[in-house]
This record gives sequence, C-alpha cells and structure tokens, in this order.
Amino acid sequence: MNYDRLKDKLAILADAAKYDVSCSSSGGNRKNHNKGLGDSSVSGICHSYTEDGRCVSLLKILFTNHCIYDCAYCTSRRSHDTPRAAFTVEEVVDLTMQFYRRNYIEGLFLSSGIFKSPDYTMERLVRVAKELRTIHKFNGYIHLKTIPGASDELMQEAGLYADRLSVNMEIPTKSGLALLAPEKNHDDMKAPMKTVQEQIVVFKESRKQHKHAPKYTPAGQSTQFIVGATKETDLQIIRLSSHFYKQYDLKRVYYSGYVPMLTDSRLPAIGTPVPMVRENRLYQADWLMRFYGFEAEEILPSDSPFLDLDCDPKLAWAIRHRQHFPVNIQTAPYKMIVRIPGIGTRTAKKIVTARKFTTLTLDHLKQMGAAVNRAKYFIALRGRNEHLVHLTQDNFRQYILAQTQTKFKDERHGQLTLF
Amino acid sequence: MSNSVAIVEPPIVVFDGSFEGWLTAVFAVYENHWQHAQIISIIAEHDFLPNLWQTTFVVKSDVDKAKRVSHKLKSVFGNNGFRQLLWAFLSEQPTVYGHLFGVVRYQLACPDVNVWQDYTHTDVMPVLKLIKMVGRERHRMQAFVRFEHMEQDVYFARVEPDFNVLPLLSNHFKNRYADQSWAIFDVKRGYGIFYDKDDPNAEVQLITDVDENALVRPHDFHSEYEKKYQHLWQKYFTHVTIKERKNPKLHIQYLPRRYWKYLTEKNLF
Ligand code: SF4
Repeated sequence: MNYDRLKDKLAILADAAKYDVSCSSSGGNRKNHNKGLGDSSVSGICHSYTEDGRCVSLLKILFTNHCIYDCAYCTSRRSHDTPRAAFTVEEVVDLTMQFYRRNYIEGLFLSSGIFKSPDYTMERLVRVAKELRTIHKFNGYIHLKTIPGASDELMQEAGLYADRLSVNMEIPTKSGLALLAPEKNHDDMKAPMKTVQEQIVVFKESRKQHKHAPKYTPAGQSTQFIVGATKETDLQIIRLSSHFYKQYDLKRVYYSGYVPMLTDSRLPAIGTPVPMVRENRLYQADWLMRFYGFEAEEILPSDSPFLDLDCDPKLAWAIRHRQHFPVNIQTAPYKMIVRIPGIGTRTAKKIVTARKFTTLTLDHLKQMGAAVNRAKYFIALRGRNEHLVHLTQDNFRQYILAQTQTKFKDERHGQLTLF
Repeated sequence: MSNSVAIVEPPIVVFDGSFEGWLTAVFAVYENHWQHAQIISIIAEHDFLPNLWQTTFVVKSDVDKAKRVSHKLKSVFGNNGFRQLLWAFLSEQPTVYGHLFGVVRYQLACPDVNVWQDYTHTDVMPVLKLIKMVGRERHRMQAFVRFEHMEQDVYFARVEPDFNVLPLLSNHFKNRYADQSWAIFDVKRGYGIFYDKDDPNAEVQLITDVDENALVRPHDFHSEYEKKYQHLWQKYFTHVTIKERKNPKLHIQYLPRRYWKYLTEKNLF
C-alpha cells in the first residue's frame, strides 16, 4: 500500500465528509459471534472529540469527492475547484480494520460523491461493507449513506451489511432544494427511505418465523437537514422531522448549521456566522419530540415560527403556559414532571421513585441532578416555596431569563442534555 | 450466643485495602455486634492515620469469611447489586468503605426494600455518586484506550485512570478484540490485563511484570506499519475539525487534558 498517497486521500476525503454531522454509533447491537473483530455496544462510544467539540466515533469519509451533480451547498459539487480523490475498496477496508484494531473508532461511516452513476457508486459502498462483514469478520458499526437514484436491489443489499442507512434530505423545503440543487427533488429522495422502511418491516416479519433470519439495518435509518442555507423556518423543519419520525420511523434527524465556504449568490456569503445557537435549539426541540412527549405544534405556535434563541424550547413552552404550573413534585404524573424546566427525563424518573420514600425538598432535587436554579420557579413542594411568587408576575419571562442567563450562553451542539 | 462483650464505642476497623479485606471487615463488624453503632469507620490501611484517642481493630483478609459475606450480599443485593458495591469500592475514595457498609447494613436490616431507589439516604446517595463516577471512568477508558501494535503481535495500551477500573474492562475488550492479542497496563497502579488470542480458554489474565522500556518508549517496539497507521489517524483527526466552529473550551470539557498523554491523536510527531 502506498501510505503517502493514502494519507493525502484521507485528508481530502475526511475534509469533504466532515459536514455530515451524524457521528452516532448507537443502536447497533452486533455481537462478536464468530471470534472475529468487534462488537458494537448499544449506547455507542465517542473515541475522541474534534477541536470543535464534536464526537469522533466513526471513521467518517467519502469514498470519492468526484461528483456529477452540482448542488450549491456542497464542497464536492462538480463546479467547485477543489482537489479530488477516490479510495479503492481495499483501502477503505484496510483503514477501517486497522483503526478499529487500535480502538480509534467504533466503525465506518461511508458516504460518497456520485461518480459515473448512482449505481456504480452505490455498488462500491456496498462492496466495502460486504467485504468487511464476510471476508474480515468485522462486527463493528457500519453506516452507509445511500446514493439517491441507486437501484432498489443495491439498497436491499446495503441493508444486509450496514447497521444504519441514511438518505440526507439536506434542504428542508422543496423550494429551497429547487433553488440550490435543481437536479434533485424531495420525492425522489424520499423514495429510498420508503424502500428501507419496507425492508425493515419485511425482515422483522421473517425474524418472527425464523430466529436466525438476518437483520436489516438494525440501527435503522437517519437523515440530515442543513440549517440556514435557505430561508426555511424552524417550524417547517420541526414539522418535517416529526413527519419523518412518524411516517418513516426514522431513528434520528440531524441538523447541521450551514458553514459558508462557497461563493454563490444563492447562498449566505462567506464569513456569515454558522447558526450554532439555532442548530442547538433545533436539537433541543427534537429531543422534546422524541423523549419528552411534545408535539411539533406545541413547541412552536404557528404565528411565531422561529425558536427563541435566548431560551431553550422547554423553558419557552413553560413560560407560555404558566397556567400548568406550579407542578407538585410529590404527586404529579411523570409526564408533567418532565415538563418542568430544569428537570430531565432521568431526574424525573428518580423523583417518581424517590418520592415514595421521602418528602422531597429542593436539596433532594439538586442531589438527583435537577437544575434547581430553573426548576424552583415552577414546582410546588410539601413545604413553602418562596420562589413561586414570581410565577404570576408580569415580568416573569425577563426575570427568569435574567436569573438563568449564564446557563444559556453556551453554544453547545449535538449530543447534549440541556434540560 | 456470642461471648464477646458489647462495646459501646466500636473501634476503627482497618483493612488491607483489598475488596476481600473489606468483605472480611464487614464480617468482623457483625461478629462483634458493632453494626448497631451510629457510625462505623472502616478504613483502608493506606488512608489510615493513627491517633491517640481511638482504638483500632485491624482485620486480616480471610478468604473464607470474605466468601461467606459475598455469598450473603449476593443473595440480598442480587448479582447486579453486588457488582454495584464493587464498582463503588473501586473508586478508592477514603470515605467509600464506611458508606458501603452503611448501604449493606441498611439492606440487611430491610431486606424487602430496594435500597438503591432511596436516593436521598445518607449512605446510598454518596455510594450512587461514586458508582456513577466509576462508571464514567470505565466508559472513558473504553473510549480512550489506544492500542499500539508491537513486534510480538500484541496490541498494547497504557492508561492512568482516575479510578481502579481495569477489572471492569476485561469483558468489554475481550468481546471486542477476540481475534487479536492485547494488553492494557495501568501505569499508575502497576498492573495490567492481558488477553492471548491463542489461549484456548480465552481468559483475560492479570499481569504485573512488563518490560519497563515498553512502558516508557513503546515506539521502540512497534511493528513494521504501526507508525504509518498512527500517522494516518493523526491526519484524519486534524482534518475532521471544522475550523469555523472551533471551540477549545468544549473540546477540553469532553477530552480532559489529563487523558491526552496516551491519546495518539493528541501526540503529533
Ligand atoms: S450529489 Fe451529493 S456529493 Fe454530489 S454535489 Fe450533490 S450533495 Fe454533493
């Protein structure tokens, strides 16, 4: 192997892949059944963190950054003057195995620009996965990006070797996509999602009959939206996510704040700040839908379609719905406890258990991991809670934000728990 | 039944620092009926500072007594609960030995209560905190161990975890690296775990004697392509950062500096 050339390729093809934010290796549960290499843990492991604070869990690369398409938002687009490279199947397999053996990674996340044709490209991605699984007995995590326009047969084969498949929608609105990627359209992109979803159902059925029938993408499928490249609203994004979670059974939707790196009159100018806070708020809204029992419509009323940048969506909801508070932590049902600002799902579960033993105090809540500096304005205790006087006052919102300001200054991203 | 005199103020119970020693100490406390005292101090030898006004009772580790206690504890806590006790123990915090005893006493006195759910109890709470901390350290080691491939075809890693988590890593790495020989050495505590892929029993063994040179200069023992892959990994690592989003504070929060020493990607050469 020519290691110097390989190093150059790796630099180019890691660079081109890094804007895809999905890094998760969770949901895999492949066991090391053949005394081969690897076994993926359900919760996933971040082996390192980039200097921008993102988790490095998978070897995330493009197979090639040659592309016959010209999507405006993409560094690999054909009209962009940039160094190009392509791996061979053997090279990707070798890098994955060698990195995995050294405990650098949980597995591979392979995507690609489209060279020659969608099928030609997809075939190579599938071959990498197939060789890893069958020749090298690799049981680590494999996430393949499906290539829009690839045949159903290839999609079906891909799901047999991959833990997760994804189709990136990238641009949340039809009009935005028409502007930035006129060669693509939403419906064509959704089609493979449907195929994958149907396959998952088919394979689940056959597993009911034979326990040893193969699994199909055990970690499900995911997608990604670029945020801030077009003029979409947060409400549009959240509704679309909710639609994907419900209709296509998606495991995750990722949000990627647009990083301006290309000059194009259709796009935000280079130097425009990356919308990191907005991206973070979208992740929080997404969590509310997936883990906190919120509906998309509850998170944003249709007359104000953007998330509040000064305050997280759960706190914003609580401030808008003061009539539901204070919530009595000694007696309220779990689904109301999780709606209290400053109390996450874990703490909520602890509260529901611990209150059988004791009458809970603010101090107990703190011990159990609640952000009491926020929660205290919204809860009723057995004893007196002097913080409740603010709840009915006109300046409640300003007061709460002033009290908890520092908490919201951090511009974190992605895999955080902020409630 | 016992002929020992009930002592109003029980002595400080000192054990040798091993888990077995602690189990023996629990045995001694019950044998001498000290368990009813408000405060029972069980202290590891290395944390113990003798003073003039307290009496001490030094426990000698005893395999049989330890077995009897662990048997009893497994039956009341269940295997999982017993493992929780061990996790907290491995935190090596001076106060943990007393709190652990408090949890044991609570569970033995109230066998029908799931004591782990009593989050606000004075002994349960600190023990739960330590279990969480040890769990986090174990998870970090699963992530931050970096193997280097040596001439002898062994993948070798050095670590210095905050807590003594090596015993909690064997299964994870054994399942993951069934087809390669590997060793992880705790430089701070002077021992390691070793898995030999050709061992028919596939057991993870404890090792204490490792070539000092391999600990100080592992690169002298690298196999032919090891440096190439380290370079490739470093290259990859520098190219996945989006520089428009750099955030050093967050970076250090997730990847605390004390772990950098053995992280290949953080030691560019
Ligand atoms: S098809 Fe994919 S790789 Fe090609 S330009 Fe569009 S987004 Fe980029």
